[in-house]
Parts: sequence; C-alpha cells; structure tokens
Amino acid sequence: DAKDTLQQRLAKMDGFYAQFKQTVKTADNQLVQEGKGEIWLTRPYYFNWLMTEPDETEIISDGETVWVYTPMVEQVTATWFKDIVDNRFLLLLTDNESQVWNNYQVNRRQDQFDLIPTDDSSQRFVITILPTGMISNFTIVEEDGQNSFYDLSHQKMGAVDAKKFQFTVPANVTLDDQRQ
Amino acid sequence: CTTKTQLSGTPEENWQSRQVELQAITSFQVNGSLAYLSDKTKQYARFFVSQTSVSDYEIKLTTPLGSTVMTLVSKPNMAWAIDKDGNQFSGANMEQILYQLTEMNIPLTSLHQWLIGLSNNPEQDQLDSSGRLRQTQFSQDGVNWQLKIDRYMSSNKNLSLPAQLELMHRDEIIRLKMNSWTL
Repeated sequence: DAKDTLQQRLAKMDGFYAQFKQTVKTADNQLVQEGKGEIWLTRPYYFNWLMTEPDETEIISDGETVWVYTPMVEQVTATWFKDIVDNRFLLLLTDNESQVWNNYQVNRRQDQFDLIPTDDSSQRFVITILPTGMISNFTIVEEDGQNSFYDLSHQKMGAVDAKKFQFTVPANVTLDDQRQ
Repeated sequence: CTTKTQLSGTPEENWQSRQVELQAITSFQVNGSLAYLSDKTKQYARFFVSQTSVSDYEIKLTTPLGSTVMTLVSKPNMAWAIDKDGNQFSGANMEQILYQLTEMNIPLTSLHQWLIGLSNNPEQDQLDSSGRLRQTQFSQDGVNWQLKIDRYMSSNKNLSLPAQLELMHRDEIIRLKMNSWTL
C-alpha cells in the first residue's frame, strides 16, 4: 500500500544532502517566516539541519542527543532525540522501524505522499519523493493549519561523512542541557 | 497622500516629517528573529507580529524549523497566549503572561512605538544622519529601557523601518532582527 511504497523509497536514502528554501505560512496564507539552509541525513536518526538565513542555527542529531546551537544567543540546547518538538517528521524520515509510523495513515498521489495522523497529535506531513529516494520537497502542517514548506535543491544521495553528525559545544557558549 | 520624506533637510527636520509618517501607521506585519539574554535565561525564537491597531496585535513565536511555540494575542482590554499544545493562558496584559510562560520580560505595551522606530521621549532621542531614530530611552510601567536601532531597511511603502534593534534594561538584552516589513 502507500505506506510500504513510501517506506521503500525512504529506505533507498541511506545518506542524503540538499539545500532548502523554507516558507512558513499561516492557514490564511500570511507569511510567518522565511529561511534558507542545508540538510544532511543518514538513516536512522542522524541529521544536520543548518539554517543559514535569516540567522544561523545548527540542529544536529548524533543519534541520541539533538544539539541546537544558535550563535545569536551564544547558547546550545541539548535534548534527547525522542523529546524534541519537531521530531515526529524527522523520526519518520530517518527510521522505518519507528513506532510513530503506527500513528500515521498514508495517502498517495503519484510521487506525493500525505501522512495523516490517526491519533490526536497535531502535525500532518506531505513529502514528494521519487522512486529513487530523491526528495524534492516536504511540508510540515500544524493542527492550526500553519505550514512550513521546504523546497529542496542540489540534492545528493550517498554516504555522508559521520563528522557531520558530531557536535562539540564551542568555547564560552552556554549549554542549556534539557536531558533529564 | 503621505508626505515624501525629502532627505534635503537637517536630520531634525527629516525626523519631524518622519514621525508624522510613522505615527500614521496603525497596522503592519513583520517577521524576524528574537534573541533574549539575561542572567536568568537565554532564549531564541523566530517571531511574526501582526498589528491591526495599537491595542490589537498578535505575536507568533516559532522554532527555526517553523513549528509554533506560542501565539500571543492582545485585544483592547485583555490578552491571552496559546502554547504549542493548545493550552490557553489569559490575563490583563501580555507582558505578564509572556513573562510567566517564558521568563522573558519584553515591553510589549509600547511595542507599536519602538518596533517601528518611534519614541515618546524627545529629550533622549539621538538621530542618524538621515533623521531616523538611532538611540533613545523610554520608560514603561516604571522600567527604564534603552533602545538602540543599529540598522534600517525599506518596507513595501518606501518608508524605512528598523532592520535590527536592541532593548536593554539592567542585565536584560533583547535583540530583534527583522526580515520583512509589510505595511
């Protein structure tokens, strides 16, 4: 069914790189936010999501901890991967075995897959992914209809240097460690 | 039609005509990023402010990835906040609610002034060479804030508005970077 097809395509993407343009809009189409950046992924759980505009923010998962480093406030926040606010989509993207899949029903139109939550969780996702595993765009839709659209370009498939997913807290930067 | 700001006059003259234009603004939308630094807490968020009138505005705080952290709504006689799980917190004024939820102390009552580069304290105003507010002090609810506007940018009505500003009070620094203005 649609879920198997999506998971087969995602599985082809063991390593992935892309540049993205982010557009966040409210349900009534007001522009809330715009951004640019790059993303590296290695399944499962490893990702490096670098926002370069309007400010630099690095979001790195080393598989266990997600480090969010924002130079503008000279601070790094560390959270367990399973607890981060935006993690549902990242879990789905990077792990076919994750039980989050059980909370989602998948509808398909050609290469576009809609992931609809069956439990009361808020976020819905849309991902356009080719048979080769190449992702062209994805959208994160909140319960109130706010949607973050990521248009990808310069995509590259294949192994990503593991160093991309390691993070060391820079000197004189505060660590806000939220991993209880 | 609004008077076009002729840059031929002295900074003070340009500031006078500019203030008239700025005071005429009642509704605007702006998005950008917010950094809040104090001894107690350091926070970063993307923001989207949509003001329809001085006491009728909404502030949306989101993560860099675009998911909503909090929505703050201010109406003439009440304010409330909705967090990412849909819980609602109401109260008399927005600042109190924001502080309770985030420990961030931001002078929101006069947001409609300092955010667009207006001041209510002429003796303290310092201007840049084009007659735009560069620095001032203002007090709100007995708290003295210092405002510095480091950079300006053009809006969609060729009226330049702040691109980067800082608000300081004791150990608290609020740094705002604006991305796009819509009047």
